[in-house]
Amino acid sequence: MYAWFGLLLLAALTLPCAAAESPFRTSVLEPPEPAPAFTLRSDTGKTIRLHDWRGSVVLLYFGYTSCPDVCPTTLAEFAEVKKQLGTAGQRLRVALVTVDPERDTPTRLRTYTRAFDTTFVGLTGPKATLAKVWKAYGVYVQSHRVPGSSEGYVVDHSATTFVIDPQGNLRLAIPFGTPVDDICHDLQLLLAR
Amino acid sequence: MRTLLCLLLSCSLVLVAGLALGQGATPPIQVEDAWARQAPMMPPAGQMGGHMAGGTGAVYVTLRNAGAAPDALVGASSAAAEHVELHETIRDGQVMRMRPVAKLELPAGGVLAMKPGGYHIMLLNLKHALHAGEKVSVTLTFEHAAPLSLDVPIR
Repeated sequence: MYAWFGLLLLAALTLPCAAAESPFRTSVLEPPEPAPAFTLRSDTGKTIRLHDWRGSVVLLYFGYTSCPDVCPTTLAEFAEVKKQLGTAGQRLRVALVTVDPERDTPTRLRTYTRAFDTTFVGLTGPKATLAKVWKAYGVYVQSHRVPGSSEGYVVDHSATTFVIDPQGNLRLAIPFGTPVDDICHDLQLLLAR
Repeated sequence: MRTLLCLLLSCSLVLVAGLALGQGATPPIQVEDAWARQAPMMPPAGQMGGHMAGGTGAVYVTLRNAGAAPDALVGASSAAAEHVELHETIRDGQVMRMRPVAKLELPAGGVLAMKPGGYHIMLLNLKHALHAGEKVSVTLTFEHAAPLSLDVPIR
């Protein structure tokens, strides 16, 4: 029974790609749906509504500034992507939504995101508001105490980046470890439309 | 007499050569690659994280155990950070979980390759920013082999 279901799921996941021959290399979210709206606070204290970024391609990443491995790797890759996109990259918005609001002060978010690119921005807000955004995007967030570590606690979190097109639709999901070339390729397609 | 002298001389040469080899012309643990990611100097963390200052960094090394016996990387230290820990990032579907590990095994003839999203050496409470193009000193400690000090390029 479960085997059949698994097979069906596999077919459902692979067939549309093969049949429609998607021009994209990363995971396509079909059909395109409006990205869940949110109102958060930028790392300079400005109120940011997702709607404000209409006309840009938005890369929405969920992470935290004490993360030494996955988050900086992802943001460094996005900085490289932006560089490679050249002038088209000026219409790219990269936002880090914190999954660690207790430790990620706006100042920390600002210092961290700007170290990768001066246009990258950190977003925070009251924990209840953030929790709604995490949930709306299906982002898993779980703080985990680490006895014996100087870090105190780490935050397990989804490391998938969501791509929102200039019309405000959720279009792509970029898993951790996606080659920079593939990201560039897909963003060029979205920016050209 | 001359033959004896020659014999003695060649014996001592062999001995000297042997000592040189024994002293680690090829150390059992070889560093095949090492790099650190650039990291900014961070302001202090908010509530619940008062001890988190200076930010964090990651160092990735690839080690080969060229020796005949198993060994393990058991720790690391750096003058650039208050604390240094061995960590592992575990991928669980879309979720990334990071955990400290007590040691990383180096089987005889084996290779330990650290990489983003996998094993890494975590620098906690950085004392200064890690700037691309510069180097950061890191000392690795092993269960058996002598400690290794590296000047790791930052990129």
